Amino acid sequence: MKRKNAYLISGGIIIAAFLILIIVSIFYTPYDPVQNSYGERLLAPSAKHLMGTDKFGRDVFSRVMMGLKTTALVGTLVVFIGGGIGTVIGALTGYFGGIVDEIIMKINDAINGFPSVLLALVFISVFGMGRANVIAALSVVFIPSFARIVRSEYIKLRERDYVKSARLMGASHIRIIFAHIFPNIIPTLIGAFTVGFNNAVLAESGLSYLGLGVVPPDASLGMMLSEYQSRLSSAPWCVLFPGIVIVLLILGFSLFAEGIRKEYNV
Amino acid sequence: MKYFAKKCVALIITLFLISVATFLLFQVVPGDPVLLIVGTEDVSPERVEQIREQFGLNDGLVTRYFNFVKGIFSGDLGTSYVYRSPVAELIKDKLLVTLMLALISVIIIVLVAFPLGIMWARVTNKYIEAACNVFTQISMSIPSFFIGILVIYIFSIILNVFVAGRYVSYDEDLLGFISYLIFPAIAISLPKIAMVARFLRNAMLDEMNKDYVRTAYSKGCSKNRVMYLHVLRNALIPVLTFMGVIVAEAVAGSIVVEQVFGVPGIGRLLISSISNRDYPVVQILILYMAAAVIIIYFILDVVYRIVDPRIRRNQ
Amino acid sequence: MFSIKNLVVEFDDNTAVNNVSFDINEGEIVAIVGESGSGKSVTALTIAGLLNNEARVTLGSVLYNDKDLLKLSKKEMRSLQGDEISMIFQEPMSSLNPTMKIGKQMAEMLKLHREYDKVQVKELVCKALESTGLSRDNYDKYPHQLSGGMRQRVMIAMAMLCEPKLLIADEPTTALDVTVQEQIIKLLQEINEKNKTSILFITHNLNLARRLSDKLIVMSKGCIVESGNAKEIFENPKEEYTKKLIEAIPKRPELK
Repeated sequence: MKRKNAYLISGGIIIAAFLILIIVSIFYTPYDPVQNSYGERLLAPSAKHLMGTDKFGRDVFSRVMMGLKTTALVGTLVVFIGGGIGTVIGALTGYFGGIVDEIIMKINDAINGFPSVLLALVFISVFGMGRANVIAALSVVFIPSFARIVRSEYIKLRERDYVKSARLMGASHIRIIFAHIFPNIIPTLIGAFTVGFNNAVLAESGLSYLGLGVVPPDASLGMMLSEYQSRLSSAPWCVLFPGIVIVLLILGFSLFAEGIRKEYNV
Repeated sequence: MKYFAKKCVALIITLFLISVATFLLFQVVPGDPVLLIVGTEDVSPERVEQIREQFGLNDGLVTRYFNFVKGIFSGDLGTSYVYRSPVAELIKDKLLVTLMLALISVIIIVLVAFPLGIMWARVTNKYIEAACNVFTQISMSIPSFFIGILVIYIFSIILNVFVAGRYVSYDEDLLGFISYLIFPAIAISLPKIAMVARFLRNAMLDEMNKDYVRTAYSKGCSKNRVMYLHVLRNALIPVLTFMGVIVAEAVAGSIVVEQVFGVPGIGRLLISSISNRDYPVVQILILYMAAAVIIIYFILDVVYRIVDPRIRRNQ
Repeated sequence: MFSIKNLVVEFDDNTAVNNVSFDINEGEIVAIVGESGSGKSVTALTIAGLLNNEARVTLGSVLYNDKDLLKLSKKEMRSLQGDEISMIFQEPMSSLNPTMKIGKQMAEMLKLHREYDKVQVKELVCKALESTGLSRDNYDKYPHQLSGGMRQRVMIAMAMLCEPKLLIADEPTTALDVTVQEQIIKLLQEINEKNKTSILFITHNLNLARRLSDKLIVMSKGCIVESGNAKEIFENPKEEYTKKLIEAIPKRPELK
């Protein structure tokens, strides 16, 4: 019992801290993240500049806040678009079964087998870069994994007695799918969404690092890393801090997901 | 044997479908390819026509697909829009570099993850268990390019073990080539080591609670014997399936990590070709990687069947 | 030959076996009867040296030819397990390693305790299979190719390979259907008569205990309620609990 909560609590604290940071960043950053300041170039971290400054004298912490906003936005939208579509597909195919289900699942499995970075690259190369394209590409890439998880839950639950009795009472299929079964898969879904968010963040920062993700004026943490990498020996803080922020973000969500998994045994 | 034949047919069909999918995908790309080829040059309509002819853009869709497939088998992979040179020539050297990188990564994963997973399953000390848990949780949370950067920071900048960016070609110095690749391979393998070790440990713990383990102890087997002769073999079966995903991810991981370390492999070429919209190159590389993933799964499927007698007989 | 004295086994905070004492003589069949949770299986596992880490023996001794098994080192105990004391279990479906051939699993027993060459081992294993009514071809089969009854025979054949002094059978027939159950019981009786192997038979089925055993021990909540000659107890039970158990037979043959 103690262990289960340790995951949830530590993950929850990290997520909450990030939420606060992101909300604050919408209204306020300590310095202007895009304003050059040549008097303060490449300063090491100090009380004034928590994460130091870059070669243009910009405050790294402010830039991290800005990048975090983009990264989190992409991650959230991808999870809700991809996860939403995946959930509906999984629910319908899992509940009704039949040949359509089999065909969709075959396609699903085929796509699922491919590493998500590779798939995302295919979409990006066809449709081009930019924030909207990244969101679209990753959403499509993540649909199958959600569909698969939700489908197997529906297959399991559609045989339950409460579903049978609801059917006997004349409830429509749509009502059974969304009002009777859906609430039972929420814990599973929360876990899947958290893991999905992590994968989206990883994929987005990877793409942006490669220069194929979001494009300026948008900034993302992955982009900052590739921009600053050449300064690794002279100004390591420019690289290490944004990187550590990504790690903490992902760590928070994976601890939370692990906590959910243990708590609900899913 | 019948199973093997069936699997081979399925493999060929899958490869065919993938080639069709990749081909079609790059037919719907917005924009006229000729504009990509000529870039900003101002060219006459005759020149445009000449280019269309040269790159085979005037043929019908089906003809072009067959030329595409025929080319793959005859070694003619098309012509790069950007470099104006045959794609086959462009990727020849790079293929070997990426394969080597993926191979070294997989070797590191297996060499570290398996002993770690077994040790973790056997250990009873609370603190060691917690340490393994923290280590794997964190490793799985680091994006591979950031691990790459950390490896450079630690091994190149702080410890001076190698010089980041000073890639050594294999025809120059094979040993130097391999020892340079070890560092990007570490970056690729670290998160995968964590995943495999966790997976193996959980699989072993599951097996250790099974009845046949008690039977083995009742025969007078030592703990080591039970672990290595009975538990491990059964635990490896699910791990094997998981390894398919891991190897595929290691291949994909090299795309990103090559960029971090300046390794001139397939991944770097893919990234620059995507940026340059050099579609003939992108198309072939995507097809190669997809085929590699399919073949990895195929091989593991066959191995899986050899290892698990239950599946062998049931089908 | 075996003498269990004042055995107390505890799990985290409850006592699974409380002050249990009894003897098993050579060639004797002793049955322990009780509901689930009565401590009968834990007693058996203690004698076989198979308790897991969560269980602690806090008091008592298990004497075998005047040696206390509980005081032996792990290595000394291992040399007895399978050789002098062997055990068969309730679930024949899962008690064999699914990825190892039957023959190899059985041969392991000989490899651990005897020094024979490969040919001899194979011959002995095949003979053992035949003595339990199985054919030799099962040597190269995997457990999933055999039925539950056949697997239990394999377990018995394996347990008897080194001709142990004591065979512990923990609910060996519970998971099998009635006709197969009958065959397994007969097999155990044969073994007992032919080899003079003592058998400790753990069951919740009073009828089986009555048919099979020389000595009967009734356990409840970790304690021995009544013990003695099987026939006498059945004819003239002294304790209230035993009476209730016996009365319950016709109405509920499968006590749980």
